[in-house]
Amino acid sequence: MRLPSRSLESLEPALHYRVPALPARAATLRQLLCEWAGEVGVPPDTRQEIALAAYEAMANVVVHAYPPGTSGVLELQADLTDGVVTVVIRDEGQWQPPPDDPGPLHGRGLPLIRELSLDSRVSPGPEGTTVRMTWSTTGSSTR
Amino acid sequence: MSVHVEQHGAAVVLRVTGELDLLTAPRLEESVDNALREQPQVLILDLSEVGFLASSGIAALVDAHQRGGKETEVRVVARGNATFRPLELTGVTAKLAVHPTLDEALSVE
Repeated sequence: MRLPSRSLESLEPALHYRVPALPARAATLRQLLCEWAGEVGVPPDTRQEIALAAYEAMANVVVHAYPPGTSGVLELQADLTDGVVTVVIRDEGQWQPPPDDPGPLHGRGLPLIRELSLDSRVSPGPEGTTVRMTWSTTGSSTR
Repeated sequence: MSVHVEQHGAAVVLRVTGELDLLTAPRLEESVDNALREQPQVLILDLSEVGFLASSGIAALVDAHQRGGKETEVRVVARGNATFRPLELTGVTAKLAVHPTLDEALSVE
């Protein structure tokens, strides 16, 4: 039952960018990711979820990963395999655990990532933080 | 992202067009600052033409609501996946007055 689309999907180019962690670059990568998702046939509603969740992960890198006044690397990877879109956002900075009470103006990024993706995992490490998120392109699994 | 300011009776309406994210949210905050300086009775942030709303944009809405305080009642116009859904998922619809259309936001008693 899972045979027909696999060989086609594996031909779709995966996405990979490494850019400076700056707000304008995060916005550009969001657009490129959205275009890619459209090209590989991800439905519009899911595309919107991917764009927002990936952007929130990238915004966290831009705002929190590197000490104020410095900048580092922002990396985006995406691919589609067997009907599952995987998006990985990576930095080479220092994970900042969210405060217990972030106040009314902060702390919405990670909840959005969790709510919008089928599955998400934040992996902080000594060499940086990786956020991995997945979506099904069949559209039936999230709602 | 652009913001157009309109006066509707006692309400000031900020019609926002484009994307509200890390890059553009500070410009909305600036427009809100300017609008609140006149202490209107009602300030409506109309996101009908916003195609992307990130948490930084949501923070700008919450900030506007807080700064409006007792003098200015802040209302938001949002509908659909791009704007209403992020507000709903983050629980902001329970705290801010969110209306589906500008007409409805204007006709609240």
